[in-house]
Amino acid sequence: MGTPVILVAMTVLFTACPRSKPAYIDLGRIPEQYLATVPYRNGDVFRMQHETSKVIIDFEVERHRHKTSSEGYGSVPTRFEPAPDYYYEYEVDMTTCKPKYPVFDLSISLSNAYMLNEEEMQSWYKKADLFAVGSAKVPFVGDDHSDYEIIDSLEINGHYYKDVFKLKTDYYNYDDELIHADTILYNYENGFVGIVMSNGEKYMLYED
Amino acid sequence: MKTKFLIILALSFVTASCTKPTKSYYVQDSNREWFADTANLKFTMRDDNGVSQSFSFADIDQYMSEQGSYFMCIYVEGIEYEHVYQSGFSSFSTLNMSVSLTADHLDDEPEGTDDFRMDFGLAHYTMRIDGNKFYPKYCYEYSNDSEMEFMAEYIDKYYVHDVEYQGVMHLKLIDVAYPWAANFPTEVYYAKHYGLIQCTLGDKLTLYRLPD
Repeated sequence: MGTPVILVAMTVLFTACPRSKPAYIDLGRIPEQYLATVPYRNGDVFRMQHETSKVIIDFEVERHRHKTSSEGYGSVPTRFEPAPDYYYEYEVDMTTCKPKYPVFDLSISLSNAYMLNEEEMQSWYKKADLFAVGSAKVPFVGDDHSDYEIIDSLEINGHYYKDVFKLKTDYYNYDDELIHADTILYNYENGFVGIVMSNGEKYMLYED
Repeated sequence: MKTKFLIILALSFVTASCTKPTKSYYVQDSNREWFADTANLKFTMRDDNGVSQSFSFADIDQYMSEQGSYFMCIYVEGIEYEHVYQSGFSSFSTLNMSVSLTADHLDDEPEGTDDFRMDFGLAHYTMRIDGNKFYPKYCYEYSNDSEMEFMAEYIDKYYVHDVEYQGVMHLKLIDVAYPWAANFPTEVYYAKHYGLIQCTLGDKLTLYRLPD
């Protein structure tokens, strides 16, 4: 007799008291100065040259922005109403550069999820993610650059590129024995300036 | 009447669930030689122009499929046959491929041959194989649902970058004018114990395996 009563009571207790509706946080749009971190427009074509073979490779750019959302757990950041769980909606700006030669894609991902104001979010999202068979992060325009190695002026085929970030990649998802990007050279004005592979081969920006 | 039917039904379920396959078919040992050995799973290929990329293959995997015969819903007999496969990819994601063998279990195929398939995602080559003897069937292209002819030959010795490979499978599409995708291998050299050693892509760029 006792057990069914307890079961019924527990069922009523757990089903009759729904959790409060999670907070919904709209982080709005990615600020223009951060979008300026990526100089490419949808439909652009840029060229890179494989240094030893002199092969010139066209990369076609696709750039799209969309809204997406994620779940947040634990305490809500201080600037929002407290709630046990929450959702946040943010913008993602994705740039993919497809080569017209059988080599790797290049891509850049921007997001304004950093605006959630959590410390972890700030350090993770307040940078542009670069991918080239290995990934690296570059800070947004106007943010702190002190931790980055920056080449003031880099000459490639008679062209000079200013303030080039020299970014060592992470390759944690892959096998270190396989050829991957070791260093990515990038600036705000030109985007990908060079890719140095783990076997020493280089792909450098090519302009007439 | 109803009771009899239920008994028959129950018996058929019991028979089906308890009956083991009566015959097992395995891939021939001579055909297993076409898979890459564990020591040869990672390698680099360089194209005509000198651009390099790495390849990585997984260890060989294997599983058995069952196939049953029924008479009036009653399990009569069954067979099981072996699949062996190996898959790999380039570190630049330009070329993913898999090679698989299915043990001979069909009456209408040449005696003693296993089913061979080399898949490149966009299309696959398929043929019957008995060690060094090949019986090409077709190259099937997924996007156009079309079957294309190809030739297959066995080469005793073949050299790539001065390395001698013994026992090489050479596959080549006959209709070269067909607009194959730029990164589809229209010609492949594939060595016993090593796997891919050379391939020509749709746009006529050839990749060659580098020595270890």
